[in-house]
Amino acid sequence: MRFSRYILVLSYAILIHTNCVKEFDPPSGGYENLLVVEAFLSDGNEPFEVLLSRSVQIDTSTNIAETGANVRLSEESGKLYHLTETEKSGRYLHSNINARVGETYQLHITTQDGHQYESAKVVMRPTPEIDSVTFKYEERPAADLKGIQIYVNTHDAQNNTFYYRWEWEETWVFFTPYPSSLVYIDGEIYPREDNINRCWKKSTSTSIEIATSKNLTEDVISEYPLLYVATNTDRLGVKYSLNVSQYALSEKSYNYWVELQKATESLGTLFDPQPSTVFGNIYNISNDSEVVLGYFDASSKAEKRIFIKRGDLPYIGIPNYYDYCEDSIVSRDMIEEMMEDGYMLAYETRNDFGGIEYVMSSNFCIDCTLAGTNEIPEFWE
Amino acid sequence: MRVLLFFIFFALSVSTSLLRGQDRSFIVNGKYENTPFDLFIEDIERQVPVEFLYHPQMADSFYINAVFHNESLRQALNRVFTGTRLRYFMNRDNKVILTEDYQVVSELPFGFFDRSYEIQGVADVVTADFPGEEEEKTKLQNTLENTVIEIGNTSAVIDGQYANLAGHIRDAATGEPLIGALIYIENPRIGVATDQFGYFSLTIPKGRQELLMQCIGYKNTKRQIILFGNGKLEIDMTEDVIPLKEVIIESEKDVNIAGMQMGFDKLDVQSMKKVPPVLGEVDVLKIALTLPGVQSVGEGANGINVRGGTADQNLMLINDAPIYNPTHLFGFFSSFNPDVIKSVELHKGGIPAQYGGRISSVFEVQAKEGNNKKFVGSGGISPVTARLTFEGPIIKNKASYIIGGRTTYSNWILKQLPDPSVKNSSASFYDLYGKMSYDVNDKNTIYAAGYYSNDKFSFNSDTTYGYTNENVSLQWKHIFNNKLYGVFSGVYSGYGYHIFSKKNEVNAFDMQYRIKNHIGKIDFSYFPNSSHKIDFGISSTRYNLEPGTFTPNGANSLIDEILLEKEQGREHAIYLGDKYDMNHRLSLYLGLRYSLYQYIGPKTIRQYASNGPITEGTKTGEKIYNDNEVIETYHGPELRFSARYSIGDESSVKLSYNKMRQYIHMLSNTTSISPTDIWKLSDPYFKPQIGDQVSLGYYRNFKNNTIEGSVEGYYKSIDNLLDFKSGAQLILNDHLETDIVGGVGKSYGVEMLLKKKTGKLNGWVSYTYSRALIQVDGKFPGESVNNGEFYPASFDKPHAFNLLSNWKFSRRLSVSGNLAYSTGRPVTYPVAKYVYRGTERVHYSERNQFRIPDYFRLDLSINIEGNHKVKKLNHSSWTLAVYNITGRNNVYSIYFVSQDGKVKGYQLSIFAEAIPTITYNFRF
Repeated sequence: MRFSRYILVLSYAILIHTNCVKEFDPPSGGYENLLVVEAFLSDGNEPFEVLLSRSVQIDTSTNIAETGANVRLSEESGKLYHLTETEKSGRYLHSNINARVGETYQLHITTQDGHQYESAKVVMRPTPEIDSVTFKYEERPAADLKGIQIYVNTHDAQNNTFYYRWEWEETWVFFTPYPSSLVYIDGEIYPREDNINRCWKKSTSTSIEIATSKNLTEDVISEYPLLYVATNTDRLGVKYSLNVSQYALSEKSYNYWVELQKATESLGTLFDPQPSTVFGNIYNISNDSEVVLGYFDASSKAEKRIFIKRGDLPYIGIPNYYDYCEDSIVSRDMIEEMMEDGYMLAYETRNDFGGIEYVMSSNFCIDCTLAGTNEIPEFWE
Repeated sequence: MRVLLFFIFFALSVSTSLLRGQDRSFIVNGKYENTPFDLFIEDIERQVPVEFLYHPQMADSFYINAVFHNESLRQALNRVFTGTRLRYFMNRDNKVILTEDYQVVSELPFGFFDRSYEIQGVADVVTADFPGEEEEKTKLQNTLENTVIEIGNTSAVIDGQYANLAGHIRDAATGEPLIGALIYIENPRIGVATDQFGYFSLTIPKGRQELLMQCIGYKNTKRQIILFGNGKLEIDMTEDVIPLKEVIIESEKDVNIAGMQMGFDKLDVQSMKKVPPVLGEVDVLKIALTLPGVQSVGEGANGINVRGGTADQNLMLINDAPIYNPTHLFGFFSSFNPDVIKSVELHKGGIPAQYGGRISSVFEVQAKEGNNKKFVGSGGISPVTARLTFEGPIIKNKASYIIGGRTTYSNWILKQLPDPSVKNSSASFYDLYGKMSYDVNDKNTIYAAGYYSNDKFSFNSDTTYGYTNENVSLQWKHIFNNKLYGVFSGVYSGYGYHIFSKKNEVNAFDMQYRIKNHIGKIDFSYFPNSSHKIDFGISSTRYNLEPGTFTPNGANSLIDEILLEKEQGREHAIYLGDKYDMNHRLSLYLGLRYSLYQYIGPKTIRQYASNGPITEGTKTGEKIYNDNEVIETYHGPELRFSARYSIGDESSVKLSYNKMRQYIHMLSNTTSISPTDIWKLSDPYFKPQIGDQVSLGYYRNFKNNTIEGSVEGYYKSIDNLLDFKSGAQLILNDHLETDIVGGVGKSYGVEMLLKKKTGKLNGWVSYTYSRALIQVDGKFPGESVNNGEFYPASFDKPHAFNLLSNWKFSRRLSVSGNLAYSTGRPVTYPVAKYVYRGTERVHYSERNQFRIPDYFRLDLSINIEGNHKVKKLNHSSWTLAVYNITGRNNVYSIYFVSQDGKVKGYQLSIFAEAIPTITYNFRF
């Protein structure tokens, strides 16, 4: 009986593990050279930036900027703003548009080769404040992960928003195992003035985070799962901060993001929809069948920042990225040689006989700027 | 020759007169008052050394009232049987054979030799009375085969005219009717196949005839008859369980050539059980995929595509009730339990007029009827499921039941696995099937059957999915006379799914979808003479759809309730089909079906501007229809035609055309069927799908008909095929018309098949070249796919090759192999990559312009039967199978995901390794 149970379990294990997903290098299919427009208008003082580029072949990685275009933003009230390109980069800027909620905007583009494009007219939508950004310790046995799930809660008391999109930026602090108080320049040793022991890393959202309350009786978003911070990185090692930006969407722009999500982020299950073209709201004036990638949208922005300290969490193991670090104690004449091998000065120490020796370790174990920045973010507390 | 025959008959008559002499010494005594016939026989058998052989059905409700005082057996029987339909015959082994309506005679009637009919098999009559040392059953069978049976009024003159003979062919052991059994005479060549009730009606010349019977999986048998007039004959055939002897089929015309059917495949359960199982389960849908012209999107994909049709264009029937979702576990298993299936018939073309409602194929599962002789059970255990089936008589020989169930213990096993990714998932299913049949008398039979299947699963997440198929059918078969019978059926069929989530209280929801349909129909079969078989009937179907409810789940849920308006429709059809054998070379089938469909209220129908596209923006208003008010009517004739012309004895050419109309459509924007796909009735905006197919085939048998070959070509066109605009939302959408566009489909192909049914090595090999193309060319911008040009459907696989074979090493050991190859299916492939808001994304344009790598798979299985002692309590068998033995990583789909800002390409395979399984089957 034991044996037959073993067989059963074995065949199941095989069955489940054979359902397999493999990464592959995609060969090039056909190629369509299309204009890509990234344009989002927000209120406040942030400059309005439009990025123009061309789509590339699926198996290439370079990006082609669309330079030399004439980009304008028009207000329904009649004002017209000309954006200027920063050094043939495909980045077009205007820093003095005082965009207002309720105003209607339209984007106009004339490319260098004379094609004229226009966006649909877009009304800037007001974005309600974020009620809270919360987190819970959750285990994810499926992926064999532990960590915290971060949620967004918001609502619109006017019952008028319904469609939401979020972006986030995370920042976390980390320390190298060996603080450095000395710097070695041209054979001389000086005291170090900068701190290269404490640094910050940051990362921004790359996936599409959208939700709707359209199917609810109230305009409420409850615990939208924004991101999962697993303990398999050093993020939660000391202190972690997350800034969440919230944008109200129109029904049309929500549908655009849903389609883009379906076409580019679905996970390849048996029941995935057939991928298809995602249509935006920018058109070639003289050829409406030309596909232009991107959606011009305008809304105000609401933000919320939270901090999570190690102490806010249950006891969790965090990987030590510096496990391999070792120090070497050397005499002064060895310093130069060691530095050639990629070592760095930490601090001085005295040997048993009272002589000065130097603690050295590999660059990565001392200089945190090799992995992050040591500039204190202005919001850090 | 004549002299020799005369001598033999002389000897025979001498021996029978000796027998009669013996009989006089059997003296019986007894007093019987309302004694059941079988008790009476038992009593006689105790008194004298004779044994009675009879069909127990004859003795039913027959009671004896008689007193015997030292009477001879013969006198006693004469008295008892006077005025009844029973006749008897006693052979020299002191076996008394009882027959109904006809007399078994061991000598030929006076004047027989004067008849102009050829005398055949007469010599056998002699051997019949000298049985060897065979089993009792065989002896009875031989006796039945070789004794001459008189049918009809024996005083009638044999005048060279035709008379009709009707009856059933049944399994001798279980009493179950045999479908598709052939009954025929050799000269002139006249034959028919039994219908789904095992019924035949044969019109042949009066006089001496040898009837030959043939059925796959059964020993061939024959009956010697003298047909005086119209009469009945019930025939039992013995199952050829494990061929103890090679079955030799001699110069018998085969269905392949002689039959009218084209684009037709029949799979019986014996041959299905030899196919290497997938995950230990014998799966009718997977086996159907080895037939030419049948494709699927990929492994594990739900549904089959027949000759370029979509998955919803197959009429899947079990007991005449349609099944809406034919699979378990999101497509890995078919929902038909192999233990309750008798056979499966697939009509790919030349579809007879009695079928309608779907445009591509008819996939009819013939479920078993219970054993009406004794209680038996069967079952099996595989890595995924456990099965158990019981059957037996309710009233012996008259009424029987069968009940079978199947369930998976996958949940229990999932919990045993160390892998956390599966521990938190759950997947379970079960199905139940039951059927009762009751032969009220020789004219009336009643059937009641039910089927229920349930699936439930959740993947490591909070949302639980479930779906259910249910159906019930009640049928009454009435034989009006030898030449006409009718079947009156009432069928209910339902399907529904249910999705719910409770994880987040605020968003906790409950979603349900249901479809119900009620069908009433009457089908008649009329056999006016030997060259016509006429089927006619009417049917009426009522559809009730509940297209979706979305309700809060729990007191704290803020879900805004959505209750979509229900939909109603009715479909009526009337049909007439005549199969006419003009001569032995040419047969024709002409059928006409007229279907009428109405979409009826209560319902609110949106109105749109008549000259623009149908979008939310062009809505002009709404119109409210009342209860039963007709909103839209569609109707039209459906012509069905087939012709067969035989070229010599070994080959024939067949031609067929059929038109089909479909009023209910499955809407799916996924590549394969998903359990949340919805069905939609035709309404003012959803036109009925119409399919036209013409096919031409050449059929040739080789080596004494042991090898069947065929080449069939077809061309099919489909009107009003449904496709969707980009971003169509199908679930909980009350204005689906704004999301669909109509298209046309065309498919064509050539199917080649070589089949060897018998011998140590048997199986089939097929090659198909086929294309399935779709064109969506809308009038308005955004309504065309691929610029309005034809593009390949997701299941368009031009080259397909299948080899399925079984090698019997011994009576107990056989090895089977299955080899499948096909062109990779088309997928939509990105044509560009771009960066948008910091993340790389891909852009898709034309649909299905890229193909995944070709598909190849080899499966092997070994079947080991337990020993063959007939009396053994429990018969068991083991199947060891390896699916995908080469471990080839067949790609199911290719997809692209933006992850961490970069586009990554992935390929998904369903079974990327060889999968061994063991299945244990038993019968008791």
